Amino acid sequence: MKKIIAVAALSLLPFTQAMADQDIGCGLGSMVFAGKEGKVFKVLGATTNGTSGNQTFGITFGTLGCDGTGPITSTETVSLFIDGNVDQLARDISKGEGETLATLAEVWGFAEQDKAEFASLAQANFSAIYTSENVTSQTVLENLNRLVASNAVLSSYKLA
Amino acid sequence: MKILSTVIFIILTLLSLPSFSSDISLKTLAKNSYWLQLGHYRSAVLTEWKSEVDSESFFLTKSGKTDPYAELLATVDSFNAIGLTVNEANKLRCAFPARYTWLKKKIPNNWPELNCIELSQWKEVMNPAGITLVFPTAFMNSPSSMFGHTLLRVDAKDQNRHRELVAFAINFSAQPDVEDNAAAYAFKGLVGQYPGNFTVMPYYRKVREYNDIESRDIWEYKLNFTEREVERILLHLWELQRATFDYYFIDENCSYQLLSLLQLANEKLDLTSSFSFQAIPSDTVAALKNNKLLQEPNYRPAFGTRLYHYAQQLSAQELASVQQLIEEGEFDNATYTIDRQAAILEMAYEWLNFNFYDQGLNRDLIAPRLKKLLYERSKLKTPPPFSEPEKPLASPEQGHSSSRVGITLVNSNNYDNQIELSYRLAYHDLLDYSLGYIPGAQISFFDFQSSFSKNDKLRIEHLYLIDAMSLAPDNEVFNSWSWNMRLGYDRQPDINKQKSRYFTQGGYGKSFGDPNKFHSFILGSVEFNAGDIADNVEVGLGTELGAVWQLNSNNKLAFTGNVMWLLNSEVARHSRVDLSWNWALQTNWALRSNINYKKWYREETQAKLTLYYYF
Repeated sequence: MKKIIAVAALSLLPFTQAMADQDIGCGLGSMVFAGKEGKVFKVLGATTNGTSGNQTFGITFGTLGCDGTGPITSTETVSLFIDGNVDQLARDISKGEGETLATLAEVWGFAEQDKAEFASLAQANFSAIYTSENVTSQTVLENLNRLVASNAVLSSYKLA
Repeated sequence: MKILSTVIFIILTLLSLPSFSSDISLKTLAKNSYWLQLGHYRSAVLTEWKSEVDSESFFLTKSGKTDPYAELLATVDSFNAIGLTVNEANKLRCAFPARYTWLKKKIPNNWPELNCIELSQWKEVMNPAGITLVFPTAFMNSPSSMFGHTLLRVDAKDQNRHRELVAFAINFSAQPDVEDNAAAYAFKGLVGQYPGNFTVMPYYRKVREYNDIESRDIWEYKLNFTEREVERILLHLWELQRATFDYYFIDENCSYQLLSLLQLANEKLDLTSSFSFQAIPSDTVAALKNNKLLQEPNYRPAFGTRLYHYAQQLSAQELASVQQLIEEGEFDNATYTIDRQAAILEMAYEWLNFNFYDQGLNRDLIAPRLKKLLYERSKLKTPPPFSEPEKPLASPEQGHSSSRVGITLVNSNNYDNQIELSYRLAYHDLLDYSLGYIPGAQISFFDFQSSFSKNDKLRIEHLYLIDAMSLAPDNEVFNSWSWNMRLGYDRQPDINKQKSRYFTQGGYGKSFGDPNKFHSFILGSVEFNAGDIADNVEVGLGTELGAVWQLNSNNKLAFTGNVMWLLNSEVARHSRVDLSWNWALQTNWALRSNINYKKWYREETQAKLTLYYYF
């Protein structure tokens, strides 16, 4: 609580926020789905490193795999991407298009001619992917993978 | 031929290796600007050089922080494996790959090619082809972000528009102590008590942070670097894994540190030496522009920008349905086509989501409603009905420079005519040329004005440490409050002369109209005055109001005024009225005319003509 007041007071100062940029840790993208409450999360997330997981950033985050050794696998990349964009992905899936959905199709590895099928499959099954507002990014990935696996055109893209 | 070159090579190696470390040419090399940049050395007061890096592990010798020559000797010795096993030497080569590849070309040696598994894997994943400067600017409703932040993005060889999000961002930031309170935070930040360091992460994290959570527009400038130059930059970034820096808010900040990294692209580049005092993000952009490194930028609209743009595409009736949908969870969809139903559902989701972020609404209440809106939308098989916001006509680097000097002729009805000289450290006021800036927002730092009168008396007219205004009007989607804040010193009319005043003032209220055209505001205001004009600390309550009219792109008219009732003073109130006209002759030149009326212990009227230069 003390921190919230402190930050509220600070936000009156014009350049604290500007010059004191900090990284927000894991779970950043998840505000709505399995997320935390708006402003508290936002304020704490934007001003400290300690609220949103214990991820320490070095210069190899996201390049050498989640455990920091060896190159990142494509499944790890997909999983990290969904984790960082779970809200935006939900929005794009509901519309059937958007940058986040297109990026997911790209990192998943869909060929150009199969991307539209993937997008419409996801849109048609929105509620099977985002089963509740408490769904985790891991479950979103599993649900998507199950849909892909059982689709006649896309089954070869199933992630191991 | 091959034999000959081999013989020459062996001779050179024999001649140079054992004794080279003390060679006179190393002394010269230690003064090479690229070596100094690799060590982040700057000329210092007590020693000739001092590195901005504060972690010991960045240096190979104890005196390395202040002695570039000693550091060079130690580096060459390490790479020569003097006193080290082959493995130890190779470890150091892999820890300092930028030093290694540069020195390998500069001095005679028989060093092997770099062979570093982790470094290779890292580069392989990044797959670098280019670098983009990313500049999240301020959003209208949060001018506190006006200074912005800058970061870099490493663009991959196979990158297309849909791979941008998974490219890697390079970010420099402070690591504050989470236990500190606000005052300690501000103070420690300013004096550099928090260490700063470089981090790398997928770019989408930064897009989510700035575009979505903080609602700031992002400009992305591709930089004119070759693949070879990008490689040099990344090799040095790898070295900076072990580097921490003092993080000063004003000078050694993100902008400065990114420039000190980028200038390692080639030996001729010098991006940092022109910053002796302050570097703010727009200056970073300007420094890169001056070195012809910037390409035409891309634009990523902020959450708020998108929301406003969507609202513009709905009729009043549709907006009412959106509101009904947000409040009651349903709307009368029978009257709308599928396309318009999709528009209403999408707008309701975006708006409620924005308020969820912005107002910190209860997640348990809001999240199920957001999910339901998305689900309803997913059932409509129709493409998204909204267009996305277009790129603004002017990007930030096209605006005026951030520091300003001025010379003013003053004609006064009570006092001597005089000439005034003024200086403002940063950044933008309501009347300055708007191109590239956010309309209706002002932040001035260290705004100083002095005068010479006929009898050569020099004195300070005013010094505003801060003079900020945020005048965001209400519109279809945003219900905004306006505010202002001023802190400093000025002179006010007393019976015989102008007397000094130290003051702090704050105001809160509403704005109306369109900041790009005609725009007005009214604020309730409170102030505290001290100095010669006040007997003790005097408290004032009152109002400040005004209107700003953008006549065309180069001309602005403003009428502003305030009246403050003093609670504990001999005079009942003081007031001021200004009529100003700013004519931007060019981006960095302006002519400003002003007529003002001030009343405190007596009345005074002045006419002023000022020539401003921005730099």
